[in-house]
Formats: sequence, C-alpha cells, structure tokens
Amino acid sequence: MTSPPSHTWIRYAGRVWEDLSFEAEAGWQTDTVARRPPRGDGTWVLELLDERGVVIVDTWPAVAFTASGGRMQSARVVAYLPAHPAGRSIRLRRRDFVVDTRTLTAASPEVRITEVEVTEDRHLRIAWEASHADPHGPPLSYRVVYIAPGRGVFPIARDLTATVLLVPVARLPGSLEGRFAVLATDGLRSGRAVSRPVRVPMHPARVAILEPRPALAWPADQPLTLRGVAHDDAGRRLDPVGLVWTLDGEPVAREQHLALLRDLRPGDHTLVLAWEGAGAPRAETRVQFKVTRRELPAPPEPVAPEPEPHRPTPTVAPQTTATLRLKL
Amino acid sequence: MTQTARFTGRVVLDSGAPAYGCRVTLRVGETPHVIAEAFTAASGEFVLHVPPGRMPMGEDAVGGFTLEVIDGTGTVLAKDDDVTARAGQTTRLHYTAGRRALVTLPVALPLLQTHAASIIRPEALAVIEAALGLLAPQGSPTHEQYTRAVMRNLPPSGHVSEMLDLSWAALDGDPRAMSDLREVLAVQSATVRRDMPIILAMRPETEPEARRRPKVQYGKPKETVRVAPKVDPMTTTGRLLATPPKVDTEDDNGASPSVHESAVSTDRLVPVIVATVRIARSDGERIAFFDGLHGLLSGLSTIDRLHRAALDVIQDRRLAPLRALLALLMAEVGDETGMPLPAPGGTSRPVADPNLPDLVDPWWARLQEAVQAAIAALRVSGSADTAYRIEGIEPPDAPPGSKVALRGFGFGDTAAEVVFGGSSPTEPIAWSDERIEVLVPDSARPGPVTLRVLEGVVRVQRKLVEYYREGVGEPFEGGRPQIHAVLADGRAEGAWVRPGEPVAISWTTIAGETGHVEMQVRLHKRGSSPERDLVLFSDGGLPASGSRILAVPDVDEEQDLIVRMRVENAVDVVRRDLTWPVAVAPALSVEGIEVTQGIQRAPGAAGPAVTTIAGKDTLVRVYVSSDRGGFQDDRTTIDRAVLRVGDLALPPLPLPPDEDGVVHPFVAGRPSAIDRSRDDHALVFRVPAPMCQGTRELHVEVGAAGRPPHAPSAEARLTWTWTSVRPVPIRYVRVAGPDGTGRPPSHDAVRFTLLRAFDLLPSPPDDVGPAWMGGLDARSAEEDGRGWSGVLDELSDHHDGSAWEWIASEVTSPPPDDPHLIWIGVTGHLPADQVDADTRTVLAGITTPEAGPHDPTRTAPARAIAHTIAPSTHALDGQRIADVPLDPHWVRTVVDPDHGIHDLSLPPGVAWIGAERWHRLIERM
Repeated sequence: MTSPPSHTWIRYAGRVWEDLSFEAEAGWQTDTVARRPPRGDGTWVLELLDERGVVIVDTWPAVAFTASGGRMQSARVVAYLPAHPAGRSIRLRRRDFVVDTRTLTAASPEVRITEVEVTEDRHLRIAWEASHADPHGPPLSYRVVYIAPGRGVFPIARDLTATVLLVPVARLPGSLEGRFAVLATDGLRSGRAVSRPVRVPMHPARVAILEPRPALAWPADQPLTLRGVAHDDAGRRLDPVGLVWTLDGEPVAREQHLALLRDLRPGDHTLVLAWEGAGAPRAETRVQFKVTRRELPAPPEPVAPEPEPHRPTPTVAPQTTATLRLKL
Repeated sequence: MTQTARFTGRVVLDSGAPAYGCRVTLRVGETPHVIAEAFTAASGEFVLHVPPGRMPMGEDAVGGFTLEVIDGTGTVLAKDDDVTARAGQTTRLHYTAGRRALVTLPVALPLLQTHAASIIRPEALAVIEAALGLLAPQGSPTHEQYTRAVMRNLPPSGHVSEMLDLSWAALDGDPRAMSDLREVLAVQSATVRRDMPIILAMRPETEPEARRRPKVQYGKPKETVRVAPKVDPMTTTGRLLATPPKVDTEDDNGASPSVHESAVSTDRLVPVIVATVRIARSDGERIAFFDGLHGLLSGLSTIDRLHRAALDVIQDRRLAPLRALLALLMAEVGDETGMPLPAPGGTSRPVADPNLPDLVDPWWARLQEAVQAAIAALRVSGSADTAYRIEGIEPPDAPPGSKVALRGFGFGDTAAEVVFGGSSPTEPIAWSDERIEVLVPDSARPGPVTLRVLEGVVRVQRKLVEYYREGVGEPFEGGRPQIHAVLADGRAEGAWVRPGEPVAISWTTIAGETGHVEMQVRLHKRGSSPERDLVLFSDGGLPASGSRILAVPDVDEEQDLIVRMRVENAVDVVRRDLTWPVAVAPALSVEGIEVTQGIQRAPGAAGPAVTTIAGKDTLVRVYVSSDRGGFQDDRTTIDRAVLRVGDLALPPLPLPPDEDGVVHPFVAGRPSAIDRSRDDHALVFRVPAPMCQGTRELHVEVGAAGRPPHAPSAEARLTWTWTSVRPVPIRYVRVAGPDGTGRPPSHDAVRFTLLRAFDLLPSPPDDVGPAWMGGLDARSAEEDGRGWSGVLDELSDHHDGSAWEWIASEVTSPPPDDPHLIWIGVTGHLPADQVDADTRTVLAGITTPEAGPHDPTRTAPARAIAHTIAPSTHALDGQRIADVPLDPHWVRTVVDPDHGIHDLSLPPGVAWIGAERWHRLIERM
C-alpha cells in the first residue's frame, strides 16, 4: 500500500447541465496534476471549506456548454483543489447558486493488493482489499492501471466496485516487470497501492498497410505508392528499419514505410508488409489488389524510323528533280 | 549519220563548286542503252561524243535524249529527259547537282599498298584528321584528335596559347548569329559591319597592358593590313584586321612562304563567320559566346596548304593508299555522324548528311571535293587497274533461288564471293577464272553483280583495313524489285503535307531496266469510303526513280494523302501504301503547369499555403495549346505525353469518360480555349508519394502524331520543392458498436474504422496508430447517463494523462502525452459532434459508404477533426481543413463549399464529383 503524499490536490470532476443539475464523477487525491484545466472567468467557483463553513481556498473552473444533438447542453467540470488538512467540504456554485456540495472525510481510504497472478487461461488476476477510516464515509470505487516501466501507464479498469479484476494478458503491453496500481476513492479522498512486478509477454507488432487499400483496382501504367506502419503492443510507432515489403512472394522494398512499385503487370497481386525488426515480435499483414490494363483509345500507328537506305543500285536523289536546271 | 554529235557541259554544285568525277551518260529516251558517256573533269566540265551510227533519226535534230549525271555509287545527281541534239553540232549543257553532292566511296576498297603510310605525306594525313575532327561532335575523341592535328601543324608562334574559343556560324541570312555577334560586340562597345566577314580575336582582360595587341584576325585577304599594336580591334569599325598568323616555315617545296602567301583565300572565308569568344566578366568568370571549334581558324592556312598537298598526292596518281585512307576516313565519318558504314566490297552509300549544320559546310564541301577528286581519279584509272570484268549473266533475269552463270575474265582461281545487290555476299557453286555459277539469293535485287575477292589486309593507323580486287560488274535484271523510298517533299511517310500547296512526290525503286513502276496518289477523307477518294495522280509507266509535283486541295480538316506504289519485274510484284496527313502542322506549347495536392496547407499552419507536402501523392496538371493557324479550329490530338520525375516516366491519368463511358484522347486547342475548371482541358499526372521529396525537376513532354523529326512536340520544365512536414500524429480508439459489448475490435473492424474515420483524410497520416485500448464501452457510458459525452470525457482523460496522474510519482516515465497527438474515438453510431480542442480529442462517427458527400454524417467528423487540428479556429464553418480527398482514378479533388472544404488549387465553382464517381471512389477506398 502506498500512502497519499502529505501535500496533495483533490481532483473534483463532474458534469453540469443547463438546468444546473450536477452529475458527479469519481475524483481522487493526487500529488501530480497531469494537465491543469483552463481557468474560468469567475462565474463558476469551486471552494474548499472547513468545519465552520469558512472558505479555505477556491478556484475558478472553466465551464463551457457544448451542443448535444438537440438535447440539453452540458459541460464538464474538472478542477483541482489543494487538500488542506482542515478542509471538510467542497462546494461548487455558480455565482450565488450552489450547484454541488460534498463532504470531505478527514482520512483517506486504504488499499492493499493481495494477489497478482497469471491464470491458466492467460488472464491476470488482481485482487485487493480496501477500507475507509470513516465507516460512514461514501462507498469506495476502484481504478486499476497497468504500469509497464519505460513504456507507459495504461488504465485498464475504472469505477469498479468489486475488488477482483481479470484482465486478458493479450490486451496488455508486454513488460518484464509490469506492475498494477489500484486506486480506491470515495469520490474525493483516495488511497492507492502498487503490486509486485509481474512478467507480461510481448505481443507481435501491429502492422498496417495504409496504401494500397484492399481490393484496389490500379491501372498498370501508373506506379503505385506503398505506405505502411508498424506499432508495438503499446501503440508506439516502430522504426521502419524493420519493415519488409513483399509482392507476390518477392521482396520489393525494405526499411521504409514509403515505397514505390512500378511496372506492375496486370492481374491480382498480394502485397505483404512484415515487421522483422527488433522491438517487437514478427508480424505481417497483407492486402490484395488488382492491376488492370488501361483501356484507352487506340493510339495512332507506332512511328517507325525512316526507312534505311539499303539498295544495291542507288538511283535518283530526291532533290535532284527539283534542282535541275537546264541551259542550252 | 556521218558526223559525231557532241555535247559539252558543266556540272556544278549549288555552291558553284564543280562536281568532279561524275559520270555523264546519254540515252535515247528511257531506254537502257547508253549511247555515250564521259566523266566530269576537275572543273566539272564534260564532253560527250555520240559516234556515228548511234544517233537515231538520221542527222535531223531530235529530242528525247536522256542525260544523267551519276556519281561514283551510281546515284543520279541530275537528270534531264528532254535533251535536244543535232548531229554535227555541239550542245551546251549546264547542270546543278543539288545543294550538296553526294560523296561516295569506291565500290571496292582500292588497292592498298602496305607502304601506304610512307607514301602519304604527313600533311595529307593531317587533312584527313582535321576533316574527321571537324565533322565530329565537339568533345569527342575524334574531335580531340583533330584539335591535336591542327595544333601540331600550327607554328609555335605563341598565339596558340592565347587563341580564343572560336566557332562557326553563317552570318549572312542568319539573324540569330548576327544578333549574337552584336551581343558579343556590345559587351566590348564595338561595332561591325554586317557584310564584313571577319574573325574577331579578343584578348583576355587579365592580359598585361604591354601585351595588348591584336592577335589574329582575318578579313578579305586582299585587304589584309597590319594594324598598329595600339589599335584596339574591338573598337575598329569597318575593316578589322591585323597581322595574319604566322604559318609553317616551309611549303611543299621546302621554301618559306611569305606571310601574305599563306593568308587564307577569300573563297574560304566568305561563307563563314567566326566569332571569338572568351569574355571575362568583372568577377573573373569567363563566358563563351560561341562554343565552337578550338583554334580551327588559326590553322586554316595550314590546312589549306595541306589540302592542296593532298590534292597533289592525288594528282601524282599515288592513288591506292589515298583511296584507302579516304575509305577509312569515310568509315570514320559514318561512325561519327551515324551514317551507315559502307558494306565491304559491296554497295557504297552517300555520306552527305543533310542534318549536318551549315557551319561546317565550307570545310565539308572541300572535303567532298577532295574525296570526289580521289574517286574520280580512281574511276579514271579504274580501267587500267581492273582486275576482273563480268561480261554477261545467264539468264539475266533469273529469280531468287535459281542458278545463274557469270561469264568474264580475271575472276581468279580461288573461289571468293559474288555480290548481288541487296544481299550479302554469296558463296558460288562453281568458280573458275572465267566462269562462276551461283544461286541467286532470296534477297537479291536488280542491279549490278560484282565480286568480292580479298586481295590483302593492311594496318593503317591502328586499324586493319581489308582491300579487295577491283573489277567491273554487270547489271542483273533478276531478283525481286524493291520500293526503296517514297517521299513527299523529301519527307517520309507521316510527315505533314500542307493543304493548298504543291507537294513533290518522289520515289526510288529498284526494278531493273525492264521493271514496271506504277503510282497512284489519292486524297482520302477519314471515315469515308475509299471509293470516294480524290485521285490526284495515276500513272502506270513511271521510271524507276523520279518525282512529280502535285497540287494538294485546300482542305479544311485533316485528311490523308495516300500514295500507292506498285513495282513489277519479271520475278515479282511489290506494293506499298504510304500515308501523309494533309493538315497544317500544329505548333504545340505548354501553357502552364500546376502542381497540387489534396493537402493545401500544413497542419497547424496559418491560412492556406502553396507548399506541397513531402511524401504525399501530387497531381501535376499540364495545360497544352495548339496553334494551326485556324486549321481545324487549331485542335490537335495529343498522343504522346509523359512527365519525367527523376528516373520515373509517368503517363497521364486517363480523361474522364464521356456519357457513353468512352475515354477519349486529350485534344489541345487554342490557348484562349483552355478552361481550368474543366478536367478534360489538362493533362493530369500523378506523382507517387515516394517521389515527392526534396526538390525535383518536372519535365513534361507532349507530342502529336507524326513521324519524327516532323512530329509536333512541346516540352516544359519546372523545378518543384516538396516541404517536409511532420505528419499528423493520430491515435485512435474504437468505441464499441451499438451492441455495446465493448469487445476489442477485430483487425478488419479497425481498418474499417480507420478508413471510415479518415475518408475525408484520404492521404493517410503515416503516424496513425492505435491506442493501447481495445475499445471503450459506449453502452455503459450511455447507461450511466453520461452518454457519448462521457466517452469523450474519458478519452480526454486518457489524452491528457489525468486518468493515471494519481500514480505518476510511482512511474519512471510519467505522462504527459505528445502535445500534438490527436486522439480520435470512432463510434459505432453517430454521436453529436464531440470535440475537445484543448485536449485535441474528437469523437467521430462512423459513416456508411452510402452516405453522400453532403451527408452531415460524413462532413461533421471531418469538420470535427479539422477543428482539433486547428484549434485556434473556434468556428466550425470551414477553411481550416487540412486535407481533402483525392480521387486517384478520376483526378478530381473533393470540394465541399457548403462546409468550407476546398481544394484551393481549383478555381471557384467546381462542385462535388458526381454521385456515380463518388460511389466508384468509395468502392476503391
């Protein structure tokens, strides 16, 4: 279990409708704000109050309503409030009208991961226990993220109420020391826990041929652009050095995501793009397309070269008659 | 008839030079029997004597004699079929043999002595080398050889090192050369008279003052004067001259010629202008105005002397080695000029190339004269040197495959080969000194039969030269006839014949003396029945070669002039139909080139940009016009078009089919008729993305029907640069479809999702990548009341990293994500426009192919994506789209003015492509 840092924000989130009704989302405590939301003009105010209702700190969230297909408009409210120890409630108001008020417990929930195992059916089973210092506090919900060191952090579940999660291994980016983190939150206060490292196998690269498109019909006299990409199982783009283009079984280009095919013969063709580099296990994809001979109007007869003089008996030079002058 | 009829005359070239060594024959009418023959002397003069008893019709004046001037190969240079003669009188004749006499080789290489090189004077070799170099392209090895030969014979006067680049140009009648010359002179503030044949010499600007003096200049030689060293030749008006160059110290007789004796004769310089040449700019860079032959003129006097020396050799009758060298020379010329080489021991060919530039004409003419002189001398001496003579062929008109016997003497005891016209040498069946039996080869033509008897092989200047026995052949009437050439105004089939003007149809056949030649000329209207053709000419008794001038009707649309030739002899019949289009030849021009892409602005850039993005397919539109002086409304069908980009030659994309589905060729018209909004008014080329990198030259060539070099054509070049722009990085996540299962999509489903999501971004961003997530559970989002906006919220949280910010302190590489990344969630059914420009996140609907271009289900996602790409624009009313679709097959870019989606390269008013095309496009996407 990891205790929340001593200095944290409380993330407050929800959606407010045109009628000023409010739908709360689960927030949490965090010592890092990934992206500070835009600041509003003061019409909307989010306040942290102490036991006596005195405002300790406030912030102005930006609330922008967007169209929703003819229905009532709504706006998302996201704000971060410094979690002063004396804070006991949070209040969202529009000018003098209070839209939402929620109680802030004195202590944060606690959570402990009890199990991280790969099951026989290639699932990861994660189980945890959680408790709230305030037995009368709001019910807990859980978020689970997967941490692949050096590759990123991937949310895999949100708003859980159960304390067990089964995740197919195939859906997780590979890592030798993958860990899972569980967030337990009552909506404002939260606690988190990080599991022991676990090995998650690497998955083949994801290879895509963007051009040509499947079933394309392409004129034979036009060169064809090949464009493709490969991504690893974490969604990161792989360097093209591992790409191999194959047309009808014959390699036509390597180490480039953009290549050119020319002098295509009419007929059906199968283009394969394979990833054979490091960074991800081999993978390939293929498309089939057709090259057609273009039906054009019949061109004029091909121009033959001037007939080569080839004569055993040279005769009249063409210009002779025209230049003949006779004087008697 | 008791008196001899005498004909005297002179044959000259167009230039006035005598035609030396030509054979002049006199026949009665078109009969094959020659009643008199002679050769032209060096002056071009000839005398024909008709012996008593050969004159027809007694002593009265008669007409209908046919006189022919024939060169060494048998080529008729001039023909007069209406010579009148009277016995006892002398008839004066004068013939012009044409602009250029045809220089020919001896039928057989002459007797070449092994001591040839020692007999031939070095000067004569220099002549030959010089001639070779003169005819060779500048920069070629032969040209270099020539230069060395000239330089070797130049005096070590110190002038050579300062000799400027020289070139030749005919000044008179060549306004361009005159203009260039003025330009040269203008630089130096000098003037020159137009009629002044001069050589200008310029000193380098860097030359010290003390050395500034005129170097070399030639004028009319009688006016040659010395110019005081202080006179600047470039500012002298009128005569411009100075000291002639020093020349070699000895002439042929070992005497030292004076300066004036070695001056170049007037007749050499008159037709030639030489400009000088190196002009240094202030920055020191030299500019050559006439990139010509180096130092040629400086050696002219030397060459002139050498030329005379060569003629001396000829006149000394040391013929054999010179003839061999001339043959070698002509072979070299053939190599250099692309003319065919002479067949060893067989036929020889004209080597005068009508494409040779006029600027080499004088020297070329002198070379011709030299060669002709040699040939004539060879002919004159031929009778004495003849080693064999064929006196008869039996039967004289045998067909191919049959056996003939050659009768004569001097054949030798060792079997050699028999040469029939039109075929390679043939092995005999039987051979003796006086009789040969041989099968007529399949390709034999009527004409003289000769022998090919190898006499020896010698080495001349690193080349092995075979030489063969001299002899006299015998005409053969057998073999298959041949239509050798049919020309209209001297041009081969396919060239344009101008309506309303006369056209000279000339023909050359090989039919033998007994052959029969027919020709019919018709004007054929295309698409009409041949029975309705207009017959312009028809004659069944034509000579083997000749020409007729016909009037071509002044038609107003393109028709065909069809010439039908038929040649028959005792062996076979040959027919040939040839066609010349009767039309005003078009002048094609490339009016403009447009380069465009689906992308019209770089993502994130302000406003529309003219740049083109590297790595994207690019369209090149080429506008071509045709000018035919109003003929056929100036329309011309373009049948050749290619765009060269690097080593790639691209054909144009086909024009869109008409209402009947027929694809027509491109037709060019007047420039004013070009409508840029019409997709059939431009040739469109697609440059594939891999070629769209950096800076490249776009080279367009277009052409219309016609036989080269008469085919109309035009070309244009454009240097174009593609700008490298970071591709739009896009991550997508597929939101589960209406079934709400939340299952991860299959590969095909993802692909479908991508194509649909990007069908308004048809040049796929090559950084498109999937998010790690398989999909969002849209159904649950709806069920918990947050709807699609909740899905967008979650996407935003993923995008900005807040979804896992609470654990950020635990990870080594925490968020944030790529700030330029665009996250797109594509949904199974249409949500309302969902855009979070701050987090560059958009929820785009999947549309179906059936949705039309104006369907909001298609345009709304495009606008939403555009908005995320260009978030500074809050209005969604357009002009911010970063990419528009490109229809690769039908060339159209997609424009949606209603929603602000424009291909800015198109003029206003272009609407969406039609529904049918759109459907085809979708099918291919």
